[in-house]
Amino acid sequence: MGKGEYLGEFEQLVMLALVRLGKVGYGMTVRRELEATSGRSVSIGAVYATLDRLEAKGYLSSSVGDPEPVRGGRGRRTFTMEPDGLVALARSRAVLDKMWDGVRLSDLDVS
Amino acid sequence: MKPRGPRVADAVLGHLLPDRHREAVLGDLAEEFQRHVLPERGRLGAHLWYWLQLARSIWPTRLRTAPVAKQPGPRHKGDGFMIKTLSDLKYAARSLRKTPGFTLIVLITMALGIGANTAIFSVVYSVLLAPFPYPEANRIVQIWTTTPERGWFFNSPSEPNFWDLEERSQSFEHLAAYRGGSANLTGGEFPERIRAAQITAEFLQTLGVAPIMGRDFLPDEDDIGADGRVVLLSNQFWRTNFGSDPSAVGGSISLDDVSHTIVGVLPHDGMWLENAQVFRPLVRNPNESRANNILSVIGRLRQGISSEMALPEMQAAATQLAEQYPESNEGMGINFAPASRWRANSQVRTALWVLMGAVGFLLLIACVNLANLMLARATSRRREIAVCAALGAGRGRIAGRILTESAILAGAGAAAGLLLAYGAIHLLRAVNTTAIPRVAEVGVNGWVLGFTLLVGIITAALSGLLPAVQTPRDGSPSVLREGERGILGSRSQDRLRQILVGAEVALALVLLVGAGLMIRSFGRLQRVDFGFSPDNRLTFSVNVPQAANRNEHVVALQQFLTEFLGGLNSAPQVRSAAAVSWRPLDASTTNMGVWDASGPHEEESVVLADFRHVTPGYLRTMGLSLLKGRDLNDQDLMYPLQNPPWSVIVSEALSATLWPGGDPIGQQITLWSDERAVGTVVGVVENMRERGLEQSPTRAVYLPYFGAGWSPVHFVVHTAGDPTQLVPQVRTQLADINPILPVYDIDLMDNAVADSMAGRQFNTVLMAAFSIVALLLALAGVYGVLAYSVSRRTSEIGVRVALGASPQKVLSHVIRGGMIPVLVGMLIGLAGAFGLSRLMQGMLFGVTASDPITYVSVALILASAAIISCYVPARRAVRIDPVAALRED
Repeated sequence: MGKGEYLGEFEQLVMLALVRLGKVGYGMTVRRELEATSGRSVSIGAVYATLDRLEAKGYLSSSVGDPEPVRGGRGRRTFTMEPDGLVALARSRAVLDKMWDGVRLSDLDVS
Repeated sequence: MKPRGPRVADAVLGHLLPDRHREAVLGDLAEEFQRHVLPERGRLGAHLWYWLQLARSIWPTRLRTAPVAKQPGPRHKGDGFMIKTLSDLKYAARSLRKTPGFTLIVLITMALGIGANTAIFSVVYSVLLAPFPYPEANRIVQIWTTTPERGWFFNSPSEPNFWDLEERSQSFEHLAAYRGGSANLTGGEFPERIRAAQITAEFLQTLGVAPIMGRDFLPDEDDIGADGRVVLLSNQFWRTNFGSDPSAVGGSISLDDVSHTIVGVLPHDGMWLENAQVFRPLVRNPNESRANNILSVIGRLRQGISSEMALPEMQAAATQLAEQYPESNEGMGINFAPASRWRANSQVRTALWVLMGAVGFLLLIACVNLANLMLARATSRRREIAVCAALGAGRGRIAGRILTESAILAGAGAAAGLLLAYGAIHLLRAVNTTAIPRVAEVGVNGWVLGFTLLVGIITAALSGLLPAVQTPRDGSPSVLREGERGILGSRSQDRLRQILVGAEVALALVLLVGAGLMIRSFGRLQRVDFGFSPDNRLTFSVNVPQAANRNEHVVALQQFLTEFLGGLNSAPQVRSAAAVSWRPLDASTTNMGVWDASGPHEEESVVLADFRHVTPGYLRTMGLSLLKGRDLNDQDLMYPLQNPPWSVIVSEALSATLWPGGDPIGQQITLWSDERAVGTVVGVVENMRERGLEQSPTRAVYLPYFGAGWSPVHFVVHTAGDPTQLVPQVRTQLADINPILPVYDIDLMDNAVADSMAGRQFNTVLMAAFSIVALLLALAGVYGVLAYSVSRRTSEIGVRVALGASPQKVLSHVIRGGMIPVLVGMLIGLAGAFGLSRLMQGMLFGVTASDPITYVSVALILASAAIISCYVPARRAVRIDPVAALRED
C-alpha cells in the first residue's frame, strides 16, 4: 500500500456499510445496507468485486463458514474490517474534510 | 418444496462466476431471495429480481475486476478466458454486421431448421415423453381378456368376470374397472348430455391419485345394493360448470333426473380422468350379463411383483372362470398391456417419430448448407486470417473466432427458431387437430427449451467445425504477398464442398421420397369407395335413459323412435331419416361371432362380424343399395318384442364369406356365438367402410332396432338441401316429445369423413412442407457451390473460350461439373430412402414403401430442379468475356 493511495467512492461506501454493520458482514448484508442507506441499487457482483479488491489491499479479511440450508447448502463468506482498512477509511475522511473546509454549500449553487 | 431462485439462472451464474466468488455469491442470492425478496415482491417479481442480479453481476465480477489481477492479489483461473471470449464475440459480431446478406440467409436457414425441430419435439415430448401423471406408473397395467383360438387378444372384460378376477387375484394391490357412458344433466334451463363414466371404488387408488378436494369413493359405495348417488367431478367440469367454486363439494347435481351428491373434485391428468365429465361409482350388479364385454380394467401390481409374475396367476383364474362359465367364457385367457400404451396408439407413435426424423434430416441439411456458406466465407477471408496469423494469432485462436461466429449465429437462429416454434404450437392448438392426442397440453417447457439449446449447440458445432478445422496451419505469408487467386479454394476444399452438396441432395431425396409416399397414400385414400354417400347427411345423437324395467324401456324407446322419425320423415326437406345403434365411422365398434346356422359349429366356421341395430330405411338414408332381398320393416322386431329367428340383413362381404356363390336369402345365421340367437337373412346390402376409411369394408349384420333397446340412439337424416337448416326443427320436435332429452354431437357426415382423414392430412401436409424446405435448401447449396466455383474459375473459362470452346460446350461443361455431386448424392439418397421408408410402412395406404412411381418422380423432380440451379451460374460462365477475364490477372 503506497502512500497517498486513496479509496474510491464505491470502496468507501462498501467499507462504511461494513462499519455500520459492526465491522463484520457478508455480501448480502452489505448490499442491503448500501441500498437502504444510499438509496442506490447495487448488484451483488459489484459488491463482491469491491470486497475482493479491498481484501487484496489488506483492508479486510474474510473467512468462509459452514453450509446453511437457507443458502441452498452453501457457506457464507464473512468479511471483517482490518485495522489498515479503518486507517485508510479515516484518512479518506480526513482528506475529504480538509477539502471541504472553507467550502460553503452556497458556493455549490449551480442553478 | 422450498422456494428457491430460478434454477437456470443459478446454473448460468455458477458457470460464469470466478471460482473464488461462486459459493458466496450464490449463497447470498439464495438467502436474500428466500428471506427478503420473495416475501416482498412475490414469485414473479422475485424471479425477475434474480435474473437482473445475474445480468448485473456477471459484468463486474468477470470483467471489471480482471485488470485488478495486475494488483498484488493472486491471479485467478478464468479471467483471461472471459476477456478472450469477449473480444472474439465483439469481433464476430462486427464481421457479421459487415455482411448483412450472409447473416440474414444464415439466420433464416437456422431458424427454419431449429424451429421445425423445436415444434415437433414439443409435440413428441408432450405425447410420448412427458412423465406420467401417476406415481410409479410402471406398476400399472391394463388387463384384457383374450380368446386366442379366435384371434382376439384385447377384449374388454365383462362385469361379472371382473369381480371374479378381482376376488381371485393376489398380485395386485388394487384392481379397478371403468365403464364409459353418458347421462343427461338435468335441473338447468336446458338438459345437457354429458359424459358420465362409472368407476369402481378403488379406481383412483389404482392410478395412485386422490381428489384435489373432497373425498374419494368409499369402499362400500360400489357394493351390491349401494344407491350410487354420489359423484366425483372432473377438473374441467368443475371449472366450467362451477367456476372452480370449492363449495361445489357437498352440493348436488341431477343426472337423468336423479339427484347425486358431489363428494369430490378430481385432479387434471390428461388421460383417464379427462375421459368423462363426471364419475359415478360402478355399483356391482349381480344380474349383469357375463357376455357383456364392456369394462376397461386396470390394476396396480404389488410392490416387487412384475407383470410377468402376475400373468400366470391371472391366467389360472381366467381358466377357472372359463371352465365355470363355458357359455360366455370359453377359451378365455388374460393379456396385460403396460400403462405406457395410454399415451398414443402405434399409428400416432410412428407418425411422430417419422416427423421427428424428418425434421432431424431438415436440420442436417441446414447444417450442411451453413457449413458450406461458412467455408466459402472463411476462404474469401483468407487474407484477413493470414494477417491475424502473421500478427501472432495461433491456429486455435483463429478457429475459435470462426466457431464464435457460428455460435452467435446459432444463438440468434435458436432464438428465432424458438419464436417460430412458439407460433407453430399456437397454430397447432388453434387448429386442435385430432391427429395429436391431448393437443392442448403441447407447449414450450423446460425440456423443450433444453432441446432447442442442444439443437442450437449441435448446429453451431456442425456448421462451424468444418471451416474451423480448415483454417491454415501456418501463417501463410504467401497469401499476403500474392493476389488472392493463387491459393483460393484448393483442390481438397473443392472436393469437400462437393461432398457436402452430395450429402445435402441425398438427405433431401430421402425426405422427398417420404413426403411423396404420403401424398400418394392420401390421394389413394381420397379415391376410396366409402360405400355410403356422405353428402347432405346430418347426424346427431339422443341419449334415452334406461328405465329400471327392460320391457318398459324397450317399449318406450320404440314409441319414441316411431313418433320422432315419423315426424322427421314427413318434413318436406327430409328425404329420409333413420336411427342406428353405432355411429358410422366411429373408430371403435360392436362386433360378434356368427356362423351359418345350418352348417356345423366348429371353431373355424365362426366369423367375426360388426353388428348394427337399424330402423327401417337406414340403408337408404345412408345411400347404400340393397343388392338382394328386402329392407327391414316395422314388423321386424327383436327380443323381447319377438323371439328368434329375427330378420337380418347382411353385407355383401359377410354373405360371400358364409355362402360363397350361393343365395343367402332365407338362410339362417347364428348370432352372438349363441345357438339360441338365430337370424333369417332377408336382404344383402353393399359393403361400407364402417370403421373408418382406411379400414377394409367390414362384414356386417344389420338387425332390427325395435326390441333391442339400444341407447344412446344415433340418427342419420338425408336432406334435400343444406342439412344444417334442419337442426332447429330437430330440436323443437324432440322437445315436443320429451323436453328433458338433449340432442348432442350434431354433425354433418361430410365432417365425419374429413375428421377420419384429419390425422393423415396433417402428417402429409407437414411432411410435404418439410421436404419442400429441404429441397429448397439443397438447391441453394447446389447453386451456391457452382456459382462460387464459376466465379473462381473465371480466368480458366476465359482461356477455354479464347481457345475456341463454343458456348454450348462451356455450358455443358459447367453444368456437368455441378451435376456430378448431385447425381452421386441422388444415388445414395435413393438407397437410403429405400431402407428408411420401410419404417413408415404403417403410415402408408394403398402404396408400398418401395413404390416405384414415387421414387422415379421424386428423382426426376430433384434432378430437373438441380439442373435449373446449375443453369444460372453456367449462363454466367458462358457470358464471360475472355479478354476481360484474362486482363483481370
